[in-house]
Amino acid sequence: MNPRYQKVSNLLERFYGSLLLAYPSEFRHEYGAEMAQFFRDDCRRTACRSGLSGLLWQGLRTLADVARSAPGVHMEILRQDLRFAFRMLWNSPAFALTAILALALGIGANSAIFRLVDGIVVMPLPFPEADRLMVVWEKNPKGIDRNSVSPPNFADYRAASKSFSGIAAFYEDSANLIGSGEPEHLLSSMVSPEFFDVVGVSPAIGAGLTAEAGAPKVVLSYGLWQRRFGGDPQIIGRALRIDDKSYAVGGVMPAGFHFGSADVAVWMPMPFDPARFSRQARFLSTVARLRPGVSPAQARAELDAIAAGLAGSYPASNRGWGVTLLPLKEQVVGEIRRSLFVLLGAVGFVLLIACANVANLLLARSARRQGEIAIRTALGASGVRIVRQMLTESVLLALIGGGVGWALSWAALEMLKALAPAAVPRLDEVSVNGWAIAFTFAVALLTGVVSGLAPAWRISRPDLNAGLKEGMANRRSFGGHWLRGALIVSEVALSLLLLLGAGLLIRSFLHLQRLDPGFDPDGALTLTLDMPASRYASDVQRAAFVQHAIERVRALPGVASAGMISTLPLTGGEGFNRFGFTVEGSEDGAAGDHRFYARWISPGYLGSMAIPLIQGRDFTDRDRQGSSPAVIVDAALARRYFPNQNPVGRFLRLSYAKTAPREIIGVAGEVRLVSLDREPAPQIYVPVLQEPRIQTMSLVVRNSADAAATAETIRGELRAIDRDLPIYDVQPLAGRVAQSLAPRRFSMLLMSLLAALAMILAAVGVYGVISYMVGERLHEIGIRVALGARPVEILLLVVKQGMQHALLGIAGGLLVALLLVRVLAGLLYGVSPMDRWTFGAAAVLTAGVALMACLIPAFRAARADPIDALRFRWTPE
Amino acid sequence: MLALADEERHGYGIKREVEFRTGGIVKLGPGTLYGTLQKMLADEWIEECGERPDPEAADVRRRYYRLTRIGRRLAAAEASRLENLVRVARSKDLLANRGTTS
Repeated sequence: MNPRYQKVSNLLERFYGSLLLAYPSEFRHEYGAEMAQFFRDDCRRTACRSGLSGLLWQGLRTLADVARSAPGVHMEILRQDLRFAFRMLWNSPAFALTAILALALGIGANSAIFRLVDGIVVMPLPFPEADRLMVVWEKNPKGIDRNSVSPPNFADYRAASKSFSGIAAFYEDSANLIGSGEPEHLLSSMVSPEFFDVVGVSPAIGAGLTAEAGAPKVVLSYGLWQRRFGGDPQIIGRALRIDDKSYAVGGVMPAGFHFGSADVAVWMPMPFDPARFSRQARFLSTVARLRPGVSPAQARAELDAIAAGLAGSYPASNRGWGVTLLPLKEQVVGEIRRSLFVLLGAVGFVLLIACANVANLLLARSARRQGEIAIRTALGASGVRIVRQMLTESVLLALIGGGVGWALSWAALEMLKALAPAAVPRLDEVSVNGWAIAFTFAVALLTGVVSGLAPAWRISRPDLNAGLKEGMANRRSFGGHWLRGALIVSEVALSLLLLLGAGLLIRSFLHLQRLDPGFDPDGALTLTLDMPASRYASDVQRAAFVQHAIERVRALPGVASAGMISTLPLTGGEGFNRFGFTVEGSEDGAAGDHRFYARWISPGYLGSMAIPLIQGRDFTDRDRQGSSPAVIVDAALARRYFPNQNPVGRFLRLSYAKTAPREIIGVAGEVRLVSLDREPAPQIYVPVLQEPRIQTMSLVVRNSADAAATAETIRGELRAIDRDLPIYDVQPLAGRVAQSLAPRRFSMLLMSLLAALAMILAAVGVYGVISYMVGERLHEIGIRVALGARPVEILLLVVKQGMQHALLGIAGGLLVALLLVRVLAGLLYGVSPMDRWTFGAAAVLTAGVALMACLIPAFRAARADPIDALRFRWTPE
Repeated sequence: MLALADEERHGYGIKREVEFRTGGIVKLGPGTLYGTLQKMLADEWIEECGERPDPEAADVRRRYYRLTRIGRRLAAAEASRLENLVRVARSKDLLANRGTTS
């Protein structure tokens, strides 16, 4: 060959040598030399035939050949590995099923919780450009930074701020829909005119709340339109009577739209001009839309300036008050975010445990396949190829597990949705999207690699001789004792962490449940009724109805006592009916920071709730309009404002009404008002017969008979007085208490489920490894027995081996827990995150479960017949 | 596969046979060839029949391949399938033109 061609040819050959790297190493190992030879031959032939240009052309063609064939070769190896992996799994169904189940549980739980987190916390709210929606609160001087806004302040913010394309206000109220069938109690949202523009959602049909001549408009929720009006397309313009006022239907919102409470059924125009309202009456919620290009910080600065101006102009109402500006999403999901992230961490732990389990199974199996691997290695399979094969198997397992897990996550999510308390926001928005699928797939893939890596690493470095000899003695060096020990340790540690988390949540839940709410929730029935303004326009009419109704209910058989209150305890409503008071004849009263919750009650209410009367007397029918004004205070107020004094006989002036001072005639026991986890706040009971200004009252009936039957009789009795009386929210008092605990019950339940899952997985893991170790040592055990070891000694030997790892895991878990429990602090009540008892109980329980898992194989070992054991050439499976 | 039907060949030999049979139209690159060989080996259509010196180039040892029984039957089945196809095509006069020109 021409020496010049020879040079080029050599160059090309070297180039081809590096191109070969595109092929899998195993293929290269097998065919690389021949391919190079092939190429050399080709070059030579081409050089002879077509000279330099032919050589260069040859080079290009070969480049194309590599690009075309290399992916195919990779796929081919993958295909072979997969086929082999499938065959291996098919041949050991027990192993495959166990591993797939463990992975499916781990991946499924992760997938479900991920979808919750994604749908609730990550996805934008379902409004156009939702990230520009903000909420404005007032910040009160005592550090409550999410206080409602008073209408005139809202009007001033709306007029003065330039940062927003719009600010709207709303408040939720009850509305009674009358006519065309049963009177119905609805939740309404009273909104300022710009509300729908700011939110960015228009009615699906109709123009909305546009101010035109004629009756004021209302907008219906899709649900109400469907339920009450059968989805009538001619609904627009139809006249409605709500609370005895006439309205026309102005629109129907799209299905799924809600803002604020999910149960709002009707949006109505705010029936007053915000600018002409008391500046101290703070009850509005707001939503504001940032102008494009304006940052929240700029808007906040502007609002701060406006607030400072208001404080200067209206010191009586606004001194010390500021503004809080929050993203709407923070407002909606802020509270649940922490619980969800704790859950996400917890399912992550469960997945890790599942990984460790599968890794253990694979390790044990890899030991059984030692012979096979050794033969393959001896036949020339490279370490890389074997690792690749092992990883293909574990990834295949994980992908199957992921598929099953995906199905499980559907079921789990439906269950979660059914169990979740109404307080969990955006649950209806949780659905499947590309992210959830990608997440599940990625988790499955990662799980496969992680759980396959350790066994693959172990197995790729076998001792050839030992493997081929299949000897007993060499087995132990192969199985990777320390590796499996480490897996047990981490499994035990992780499940201890979950158990600890669940334990702390359970303890705080029990603590709350045992807490005395201040009344006896058992054996009492509650319902709420509205006295429509049309028929109960005057105080006299309302007082008469209350008195009459209570008398008739009290006379029913099975009813022990009955009474009414304006707002039952534990029905939410923070800051609801909160006012100031001053103590007559005391100098410090003028400061006005004596705050209390006002509740209007009838005679018999305290008795029906079993709230003890500590001093003085209860209200009677004589505490009516015209009699001398009286109040009952609760123990919390008495303790705080009358320390070491007798409050009975003292006089109070209440800020909400300019009436004569009222005499304290009694002291009642304190009650947890807002929620069970809030300390009782000072409370004042006003006799409703004396001040019958409340339209919506709740009736409490303590009954001895069957609650459901009583409910019907009571309803009938009340309807007998007033046929059109809206009665709703009928439920046992105990139900309300349970409801107020529902969110905690939910997180406790989920955490406990996860902890149980973790425990089961860890127990299976420990059991599997210990059984395996027992199998390995059976020969040695036989010798021991033959030499006179008693069964109990054998038992202890095995248990000791297992428990060493378990105890190490428990110690490690406790250490990690000390660092991690802090994240739970916000979710706990009445329990320290470092609670000694919970730590102890979790450790003992984990040790117990590990012990059980060790005992089964230990007993088997102890019962082993020495002759069998000695004769036994251990072949697992 | 046809290249191996009559005798055992090594990789480069297969390439030359294919090139010869197709009149130089099909030029197998090394990657394509060995990729296919590996797949056919895995499926047991062909087998290795030892490594020995190439009689044409005495300095290199080459691996030789031959059809297995399965491979031979497969090749025969494929050939007869194609033959049937051609027969059908011919009966519909699809190949008439080529038949006369070649």
